[in-house]
Amino acid sequence: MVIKRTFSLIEEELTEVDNYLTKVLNEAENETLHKIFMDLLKAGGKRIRPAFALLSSKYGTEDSKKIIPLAAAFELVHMASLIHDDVIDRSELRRGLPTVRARQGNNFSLHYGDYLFGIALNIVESYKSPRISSLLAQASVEMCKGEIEQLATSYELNQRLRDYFYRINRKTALLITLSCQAGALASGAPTSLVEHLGRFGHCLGMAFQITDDVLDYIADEETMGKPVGGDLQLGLVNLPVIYVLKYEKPEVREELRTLLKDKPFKKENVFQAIEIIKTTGAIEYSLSIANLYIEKGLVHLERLPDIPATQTLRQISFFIYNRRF
Amino acid sequence: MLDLVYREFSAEVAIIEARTQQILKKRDSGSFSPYKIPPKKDERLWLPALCLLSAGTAKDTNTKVVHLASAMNIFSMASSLHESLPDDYTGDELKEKIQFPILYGDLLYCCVCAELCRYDLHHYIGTMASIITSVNKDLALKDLNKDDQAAALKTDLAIRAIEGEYACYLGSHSVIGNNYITEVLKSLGYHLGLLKAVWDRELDCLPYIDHWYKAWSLLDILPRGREHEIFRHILLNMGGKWQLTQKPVILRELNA
Repeated sequence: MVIKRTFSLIEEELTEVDNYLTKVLNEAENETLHKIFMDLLKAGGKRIRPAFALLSSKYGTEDSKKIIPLAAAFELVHMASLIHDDVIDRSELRRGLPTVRARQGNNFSLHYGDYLFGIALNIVESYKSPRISSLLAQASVEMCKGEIEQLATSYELNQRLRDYFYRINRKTALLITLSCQAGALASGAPTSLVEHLGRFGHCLGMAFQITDDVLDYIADEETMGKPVGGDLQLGLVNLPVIYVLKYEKPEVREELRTLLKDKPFKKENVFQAIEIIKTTGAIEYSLSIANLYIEKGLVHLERLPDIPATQTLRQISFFIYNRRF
Repeated sequence: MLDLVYREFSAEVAIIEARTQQILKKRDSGSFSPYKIPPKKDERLWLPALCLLSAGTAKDTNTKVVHLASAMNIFSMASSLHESLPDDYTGDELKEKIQFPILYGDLLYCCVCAELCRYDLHHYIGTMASIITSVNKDLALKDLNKDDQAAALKTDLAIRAIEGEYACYLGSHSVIGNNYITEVLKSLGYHLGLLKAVWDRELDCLPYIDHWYKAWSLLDILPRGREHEIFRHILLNMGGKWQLTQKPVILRELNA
């Protein structure tokens, strides 16, 4: 509800994004595929990426209605990546509902995700902007590399902060950066504003992922829509773990290493590990890093014109810092 | 079947292979090995070969065509990776059997677009996007009707036909644009794609004989030259296995 209020400036346009997606998938002329997609749409989601694209478009001269398809394309890319993530993680639930994988199987999910990606590419191409197409292409390549890196380093405790930031930049921040840049580009915003919006998107994306990672340790399952400690159970060594293994007292570091020595991590050990992490400064440290990113992002917002969209972006920054889901 | 292609287009093939390997190499500062995609030389180069041959038939092959062929190669690898995954794997090698193939397939699909952007071929993104959408829509529908073997086969053949069609279209269009020769080559690609699928699966060719005749008819329309000869060689190669020649003689009836 909080995020919806924050997006009130573009509420109508976000609804049009959903309507556009419904129309495009309807044109697939297959009832089953359309129904599956409608279920995905109704499952919710914060629509953050389309929101950033729409808000960024306010800095240009073009009518924001022109940006609706582009915003929809970014949501499709995000949806496709989530569908594939659920196959990779063997997830049964997402946002409290059965995943596409749980309902239709792995192969269908794979191909359906690829299908949505193809539609997104088509939509972006329709803007006939080599710059936007290149940005999407590059961002999506880097996103995949980030996922591969994440998988390759799963259950590996000897990770550096730099490795973590590399991963989350690719996994999350890049698509948000792209959404901000592309929305501004498509609406004809000046280059300097496109740059600042891109940097803002990057900072916010990093902060978003860091807080997401922290919530894996401190939030409850009902709020998150996924099991607590789920990331650690999947072997994702995130910032709180890296902090403890790097900065905490030797005996705490040793205890955590002992608990997480098996590959894959044992479930009961993961819960114990989470309890240990919560007693250290790891959560506070991680949130302070997220806060730093938000502050950096706000600096870029200062370079933007003082229009309602800038206010909304500022509110989103505070929402991400304070989020509990 | 593609031995002539490898010989006549050795430079282009080398560039295509090198470009794909470059995309898949590990991060320089990383310490983790990437997943090794199993090599399937003939299958993988089929679509790039069609692209090169079409361009050469229409006019010539140039760097633009090589990059398009490279994009087709990457697409082919991506779809091959995603198509070959077991639907319900419960074994221990999850990373190698499921997770890495999914992610590398995703990476390669993204790289298709990236390749086109890198070489200023943005105007073909729509075409490649259409191939990705079309192929995966059919595959998704096939997955919904897993028990219907006949429909699944029909879908598979249709997909290979569409891929062949697009590969030839891209090759020709990139050198001569939209015209009659491009349309002929596009149709030829369709029939060749389907026939190749029949050939690969070692199916009885009789139900698909029309495609064989149409492919020859289309080939007759096209300009003569090196590429024409290679198309002919491909068809004769297939025909050798099916005991078919160019002339419409149905050997089964004679043998019966």
